[in-house]
Formats: sequence, C-alpha cells, structure tokens
Amino acid sequence: MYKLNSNIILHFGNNAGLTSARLFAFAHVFVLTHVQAPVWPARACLRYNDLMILISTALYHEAKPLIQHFRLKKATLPPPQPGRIQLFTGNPSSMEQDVWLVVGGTGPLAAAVAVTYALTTARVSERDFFLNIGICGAVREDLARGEAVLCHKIIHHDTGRAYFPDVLIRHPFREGVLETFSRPVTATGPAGETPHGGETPRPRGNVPAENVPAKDVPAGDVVDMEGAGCFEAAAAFLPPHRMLFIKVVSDHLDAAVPNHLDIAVPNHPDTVDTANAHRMDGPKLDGPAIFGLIAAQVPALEDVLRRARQLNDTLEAPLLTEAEAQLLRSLQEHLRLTVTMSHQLRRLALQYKAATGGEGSLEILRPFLRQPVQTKKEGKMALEQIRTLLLPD
Amino acid sequence: MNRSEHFFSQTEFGTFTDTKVTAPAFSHIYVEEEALDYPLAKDILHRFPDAVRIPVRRYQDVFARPRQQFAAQKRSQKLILAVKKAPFLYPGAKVCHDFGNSHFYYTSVALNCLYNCEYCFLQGMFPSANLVLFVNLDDYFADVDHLLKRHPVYLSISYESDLLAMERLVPYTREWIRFASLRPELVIEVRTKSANYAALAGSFGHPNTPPDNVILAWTLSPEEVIRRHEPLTPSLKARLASARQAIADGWKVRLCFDPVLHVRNWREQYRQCIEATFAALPAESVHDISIGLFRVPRDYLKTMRQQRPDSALLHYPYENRQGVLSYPEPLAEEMIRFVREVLEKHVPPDKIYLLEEERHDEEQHDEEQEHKVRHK
Repeated sequence: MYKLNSNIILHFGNNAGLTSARLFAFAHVFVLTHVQAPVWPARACLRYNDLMILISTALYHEAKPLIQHFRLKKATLPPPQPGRIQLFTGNPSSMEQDVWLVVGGTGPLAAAVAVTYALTTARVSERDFFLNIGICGAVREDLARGEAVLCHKIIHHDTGRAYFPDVLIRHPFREGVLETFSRPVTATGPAGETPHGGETPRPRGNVPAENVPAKDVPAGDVVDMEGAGCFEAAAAFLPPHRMLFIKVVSDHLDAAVPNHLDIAVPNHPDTVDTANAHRMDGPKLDGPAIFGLIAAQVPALEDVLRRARQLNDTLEAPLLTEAEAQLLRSLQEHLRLTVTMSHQLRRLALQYKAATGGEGSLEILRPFLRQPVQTKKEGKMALEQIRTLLLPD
Repeated sequence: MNRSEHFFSQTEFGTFTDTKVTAPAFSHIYVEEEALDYPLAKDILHRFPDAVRIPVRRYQDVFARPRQQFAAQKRSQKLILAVKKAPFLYPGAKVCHDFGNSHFYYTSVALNCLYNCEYCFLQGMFPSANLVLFVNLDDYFADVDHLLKRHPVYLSISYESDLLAMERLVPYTREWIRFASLRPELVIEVRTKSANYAALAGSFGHPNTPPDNVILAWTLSPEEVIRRHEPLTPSLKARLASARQAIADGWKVRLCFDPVLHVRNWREQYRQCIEATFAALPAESVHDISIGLFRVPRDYLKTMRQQRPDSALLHYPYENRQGVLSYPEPLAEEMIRFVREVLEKHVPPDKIYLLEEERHDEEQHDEEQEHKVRHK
C-alpha cells in the first residue's frame, strides 16, 4: 500500500517478479513525478528538443566532467525534494539534443530510483537514449586502471538475473561483463580478511578461488554498485539498443578502494567534496582522481553519443509533416469520416508518402476540402476517390 | 561472387551496413552454455574469431527481451547459438502452400534471416532481428524419424529463415539433404531467395545424382520489387542463374511467385518477371510453381508497421479475412488471375498451385464467369 498526498491510496498486490523494495521505489517515483506533474509540467519546462540523452552517475565526482563538458545547469526540483537526487540539464549545441544528468547515490536501488525519477520527469520517449557511467573495480588483471569498459552483459549479483544491452553502435571501448553488488566489493587479504570492510572476499590475482564460497566468485569482469539497478529502471522505458553502460576501472579490488557510501553527493555542484575525499582508503582515489578517470573518457563518449543520434535519424524520420497531419484532421472533419474511415485515410496517406519516398505531397488532397459533403455517403464516395488517387494503379 | 557470399566475412558484410555508425554484423555472438559442447557451435565460433562472445543461460534471455527494435537490430545483426528444445516440427500453416501433400510440416533450425525484406512476416513474429542458430541438428533428425514411423512427411525446412543463403556460415541445407537422401518417405523443400546453389553443387551435383525427394524452391520477384523491397537479396537474374544450374544438375526446382505485391505498374512488372524466368529456365523442367499474394496475420502486421513506419507496403489498407490481412477481394482475384494467365502461357495449369483460399476464389470467379456467359 502506498499513500499519496494523504488522500489517495495505491495498493500493490503480491507480484512474484517484483521485490517489495523495487515496488516501493517505483511507487515513490510515480508519486513524485505523476502526482506533481500538473504543478510542474517537466517536459514543457526543461526540454528543448524532441530527443534527449539521460546520463546517470552515482557520485557527483563522476558527473562533474560531463556537467562541465556539456555545460549543464542544476535543475531546481519541485517539492517534495527527491532525497539526495540531483538533476542537471542542458542543451549543448554539439549534441543537437537535450542532455540530462542525474546523480543518484550509490547502490542499485538508489540508482533505480534516480533513473526512474529522471526518466519520468523528462517524460521520456522511446527515441531517447540512456547512459550510465561511473567507476568500477576490475576483477580481470588485464583491465588497466583508467580503462573504460562497455558492458554487454550486466549481472545483478543479488538476484542472479542477467541483462543485455544491445551493442549496435560502433565504439572504441573494450567490452566486458559487469556484475552489480549491493555493497562495496573488496578483495580478500592473505588470511581471508576483508581489509576494507567490504561485504565478501573476492578472488583475484594470487588468491585461489577455493578460498571463497563458489556463490561469491564474481562472474563479471568488472564490478559496481549501480549498473543492474540502472538497467532495470531504464529498460522499463527504453529499447535495449538505446542503453549504454560504461564503467571506468578505478582499482582492482585490492587497494585504494573508494568506499562509495562515504562519498556524499555535494549539495552544490561546484563544491568539491573534500570533506569525504580524504576519508577514502587509497590515496589516489579522491574526488579529483575520480574526476580525472571519467574526464579522460568524455571525448570518446561524446562520439558514441553522436552515433546514437545518427542511428535515430536514419531509423525514424517521421513520414507525415505536421502540416500534413493537420490536413488529414481537417479532411476527417470535412468529409464526415467515421473512426474506421479516418483510420483508412491515415493508412492511405502513410502508404502514399512511403511509396514516394516521403517526397509525395499530400497537398493533392487539399481540393477535397472544397468538395461539398453533406452526408456520410458523400464522405464515403470522397474517400473512395482518395483511395484511387493514392494507391498504385 | 554473388551477394549472399558476402555474409561469410564480417569485414565484407560490413559493406552492407553503415559502418561509421553501427558495429559490423555478427560482431557479437551470444552462446548458450549448453550449446558450447556441440561441434556445430565450435565450428561457427571458429569462423568468427574476432567476434565478442557473450555467454547466456537460455537464448530467450537475449532473443525475447522486451522493447527490442527489429529494424535497428538489422543494422548490426548478432548471432545467437542455442540448443533447441522440443517441439522440433510444426504442422504447416493454412497460409502456406502444401502442394497437395497431406502430412505437411515445417521446422526451424534457424530463426531469422540474413536478408531484410520489407514485407517479411518474421519482423512481426519474432521480438528480435538477431539470428538464432540451433546447433542440435540430431535432435531434429530424431524427431523426423519418429514421425516417419507413422506416415510419410512433407517438410519445409526454410520457412523462418533462408538456409541456403547462410550455407557457408552453417551447412544446414547439406545436412538436411544428406539426412533426407536416406529416407525416401521424407520430402523436403528448401525455399530460398539466394543465388547460392554452388554451395550444394559441390556436394550433391554432377556426377552424383541429386536426391529425388528434395525440392529446391526459388522465390522470384520482379527486379524492381527486389531492388526496392528485398534489400540484400540477389537479383532476379542471379537467382535464375542458380535455378538454371540446379535444373541442369538434375534437381527438382520449384518456382514461387510469392508474395505477389500490389506495386505501381504491377502487371507489367510481373509479366516481365515471368517472361525473364522462362527465358532463363526450360519451362518443361520446372517441377511446379506456386502463386501467393502478400498475406500476414493481423497481429504480425501491427508489429511490422511499428517496426517499419516508413513502409508503403505495410501501410497499405489491407482487408482482414479471418484474422489474415491481404489485398481486398476484387484486387486479389485480379492479381492472382493475371499472374496465373501469364504463367499458363509457359506451363500447364496442373503445375501451378494456389493457396486453398485463393483457389476457392478463383474457382468461384470462374463459375460466375461461366454463369454470365450462359445467361448472355
């Protein structure tokens, strides 16, 4: 059960496919976005283009290079404030589409909440694009620190479920399997200790696999704490070829592992989180280091995002112009067409436009607006004339 | 080199996609853990050493994901290697020709196709454009043997793919033909738009006699239709050259004018297509011919229109007859009659097969004409 504004109650029945936590997350976001929508029509206020890229990060320092590169501005969110979630928006000319960025905090559930919040706030369409970027720990020794990994498979460690973003767009990154954990992951010490207070020992390097329970051996090449949550949320709105997961190797689970939970999202985007940065375990993984790791990937990322836009362009050019859609509406009214006949008219028009490669103009139908129609029968006759005009001989 | 042969090289195949934007075809291969043990899987993986291999538990985890976009995936098609579970054989559908066979079945060792025909029903039937290859052929063969103990079987092996087009990628057609050649009670039809007969010729052609119970069936369309609506497929000329060689080598060759499409200037286009066909092939050596109009289940067309919003063929205002959408009755009759009449100039009527419904419409039309003549 979920309570809305003290007077609306939603009840969610048992659903074997959804945990109560996920239900809570979605319900929470639903309330934040849909209930508040009349007060704050988000798309009208914040979107400049039909197309949008939504970028999600867990940490502000992961977001900062992108905020700076795309010159994003922090959005003022309507009350009630969505926890620690921060949203940045912009319309960079280099991308020819809106760029939104959400900083959601660590953990798969926080990531799912943040992504759902941002996508619903943006009134996402299936043509939009999603990118999750952040630092990760590498299980494989051959993945060097600073290397970016495009994730073609994402395993949610807690549930064992695997997700597969499509890799249709050409990219320069190495690929690998990402495994998402709910708590920080560290390598085991020589005596099986967990030097950084992490959840479970992870085998790597010279640590034999038999030292850890089989169920805890990472199946992924890299590990993080958000990827699976982001995928589950974004997949509710977007096709799998419009989702991209890039993880930059920050460590090998052995030393200088950032305790994600200790890195707070600053309240102001320009504030460097020095208070938390010095508490990190390794000397090299403070806020600026994370900034550097992500910043190095921004040019390549921008190229990939542009290609994603090109894929959109080639696939989905709309057949009818707005003027033609208006002409069809006028014809429906003038010719007194029934719902079924209106549907046929639209189908005929689409067929004609497609057959002429989009070049044939529906202006040839405009004279029908001057044809006197008093009865439905006359309208039907006019539709038959249109059929003859638009179909092949 | 014919166009279909390009598919055997990732690099060459890349010339058919916009490589600046999309990854080349078969850049990624999803492999079921269970499939890895099969020699066929190992062989296919060996052909693509540079492909990224992604392990999956069941192929549906990738193939049946929600919200996939068929048209987008066709731009960078991936392979999925899987182990098929029963059933392996399906009864033939009403919308497919049975050619007078009473035990008509079809089977699918592959899901989806290398080609990208605009009107293809697979884009309405499958949630993904990725190519699934099942590697456990022996399980299919065992099921056919089981069925053959009960009655003869007429089996179409290439309905949900074009197996001959991908013969150099995976030798399904040769394996099926070898299997059928030892079982006279089994008749198999290999339907194709490819010009890849050469892949079979080396194995079964001269001096060996082709099996009598194997029919190679070429789908033929006017050149203009091929150019506009059947991307990546070989030209009519190339298909006919392949069919001609098959006939010369002694194979039974079927010609399928299916689907016949209502495109601009359709009469002239189909007349020229048929004339070109019999200029290239000896009519008396053609085993039989089928004619079929474009037809598709209503639910499939709804999805197909979403997948290809710019398709004139799919936006055509089709008529719904018992859940199957096709051309309106008078036009449908006219198209069938026209194609049939042109064909009958070259082959006897008993070699021409229509679908049950279309045959019924034709007979009804003939009776009406006779009735009119009688009462004149």
